[in-house]
Amino acid sequence: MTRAGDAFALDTEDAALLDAVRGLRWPARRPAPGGRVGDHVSRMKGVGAEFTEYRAYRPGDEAAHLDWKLLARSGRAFVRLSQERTVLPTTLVVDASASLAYPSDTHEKWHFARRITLGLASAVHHGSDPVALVVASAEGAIRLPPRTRRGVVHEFVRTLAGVQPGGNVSLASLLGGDAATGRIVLVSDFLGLSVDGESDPLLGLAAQWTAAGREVYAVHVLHAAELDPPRREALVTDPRADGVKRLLGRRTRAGYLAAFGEWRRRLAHGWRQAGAVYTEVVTTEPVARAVRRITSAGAASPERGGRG
Amino acid sequence: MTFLAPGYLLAAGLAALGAFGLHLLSTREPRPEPLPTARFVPETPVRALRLVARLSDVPLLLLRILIVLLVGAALARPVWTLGKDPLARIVVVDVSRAVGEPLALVDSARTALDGADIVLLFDEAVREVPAASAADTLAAWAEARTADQTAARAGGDPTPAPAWSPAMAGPGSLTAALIAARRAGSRLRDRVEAVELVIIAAFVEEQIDEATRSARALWPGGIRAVVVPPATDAVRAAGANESGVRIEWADSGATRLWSARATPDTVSAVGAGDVVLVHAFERAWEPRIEAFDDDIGTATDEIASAAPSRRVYARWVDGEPAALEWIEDDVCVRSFGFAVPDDGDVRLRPAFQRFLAGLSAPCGEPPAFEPIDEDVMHEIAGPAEPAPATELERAELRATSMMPWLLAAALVLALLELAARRARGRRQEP
Repeated sequence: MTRAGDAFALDTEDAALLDAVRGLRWPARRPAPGGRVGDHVSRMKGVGAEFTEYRAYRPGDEAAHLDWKLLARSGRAFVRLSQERTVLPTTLVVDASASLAYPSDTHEKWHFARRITLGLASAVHHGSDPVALVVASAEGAIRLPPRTRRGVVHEFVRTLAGVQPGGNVSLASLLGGDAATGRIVLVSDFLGLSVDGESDPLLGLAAQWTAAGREVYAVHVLHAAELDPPRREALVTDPRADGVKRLLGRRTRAGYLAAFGEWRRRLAHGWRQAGAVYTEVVTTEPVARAVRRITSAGAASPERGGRG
Repeated sequence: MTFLAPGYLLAAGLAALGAFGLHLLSTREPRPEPLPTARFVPETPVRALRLVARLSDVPLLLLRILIVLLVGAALARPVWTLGKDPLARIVVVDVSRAVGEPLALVDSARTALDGADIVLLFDEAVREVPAASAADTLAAWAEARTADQTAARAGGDPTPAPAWSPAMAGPGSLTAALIAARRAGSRLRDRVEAVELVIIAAFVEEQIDEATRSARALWPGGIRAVVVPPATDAVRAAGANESGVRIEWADSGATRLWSARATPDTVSAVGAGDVVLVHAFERAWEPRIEAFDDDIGTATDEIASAAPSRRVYARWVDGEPAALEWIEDDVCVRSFGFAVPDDGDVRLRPAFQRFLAGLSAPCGEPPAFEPIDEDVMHEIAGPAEPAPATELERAELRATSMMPWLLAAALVLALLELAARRARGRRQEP
């Protein structure tokens, strides 16, 4: 992995993407822990303007919170409670392994993953939530701390523009000590996971995160050629693993499609078992649409707590 | 150089093209391409047969193409020809009993024999004699035949020689002569532009049969017919004064002129005069050689006294005598070396009826030496042009002198190819 300079790298497609997702919000799936005032429903009850319920006065409550009119009418002391709003810090983790550098000449898969990350960052930023970036590469992680200031998305653009995917990265080992709160989004092809797709340490980590109240999103990036490889005879190699050399052709194509389909099915099952929101995105899909699909993927949750 | 079987050359060309195509197929490992999901491809041998735009193993390919072409050229039977001769000549000479003046026939044939490529003599069978010595052979035959005729005119006993002798005296068959001429013409097909056929014969009625027209139609050009005088009455009347006929059958014990064959065989036809019986006859007897020549000295007194003068009455289809006749005590005796079938279709055929009728005819019954009708003669002669060689059927393929050399060269190249293949295999070993 190499980093380019700080040259501003917002190309035409990046600009079009950011324009397409302008105004997009990414609501939390469930009430967020309390914190700074933000856009998401908080687990905390407060005294803001958005009334929700009354609670009987208890010694220690501030007198200013008493509903004096109610006390005058009924002679009973109640505290007026309202719903708190808070921010949801979001960490975007993008995988920059060698398997993302595909095809080898255009790196289309990597650029697709990069733009998905930018689109999601933009959606987070529009909700005034702090957004952090972790680029996982073979040489270590590039970490940008969570920020809400203007220009954070462009900072992401510059950072990601300087990344050349390569090597074999283990997301689990990279994120194992991460104790951050809020939402964590993994943008990867997950080919670094174990072959069975269900028993990888990363899934165990995700299960711990969701148990701790974090929202976990698994964005599975697929290249169209992986789903429908060319029909000509080809000797294919695994960029993540030396020595894997297989003949993909008329006789092995069906076996490949079956094995790959089964692996994806088990992977999706593993992520969902871990409580994560799993979404497959394919390079043939417009990036803006994929971003909207990801941000709305958790909408079915009954615990949904956002406005948008 | 021409090829007697050019089809093999074409096949070799196609095979060479096939070899060329096979060398466009490669079993090498394809160039690797990265695919992130390669691990999901089932494991198989990674050497794949693939079509490539570049020829592999060019020296081997050249060797293989050369081998295929050499074998094809050898099988195509090449012959060196320094240009085709414009015209070849086949001379067919009648030496049957119908020839009345053998010496006149030799004189007539002399011009035609000069420069002839193939010479055929025919009576009821056809034999080829070397063209260079054909004139001498004919002269010897004419001398013997003239002596026989002189003896017959003088009332003596003619001594016909066996059918396989040049001095033969059997009936002639133009049908057999025409078929033999066509076969001979096929041998000349690839060497000349046209073939002239000259038939020097008596052209009498007994020499044609139902198949003669069909046989004539097989010759694609004109025929130069040289007519020689037929036999005279004096010759034909020899031995025609006997009274009564006696028939003997070898199967019934009349074996004084017949001996049992060591290996009986089956013959498809027997001819007696102008009658041909087509049937699967069992040939169990063969004539004792003494029956034809008393001077051999091996004959018993009985044979010598009983059969002083014999002639062939019937012959097998291959020319061997099947029945003999002679005059004994003023009685015509006919001795048969075969049995007439007792039943079957053959007895219903007209030929069989004619055969039965002929049995009671006097010995030496002269054949009808009537000249062939002019219209038929005109039909036999046909157009004036010789036969174009291309219209003659190609002769049976035979090996040519170049064939073994080409095959040997192909064998040497095959060994070279084997060595080259092994050397390549050693180079490819890790």
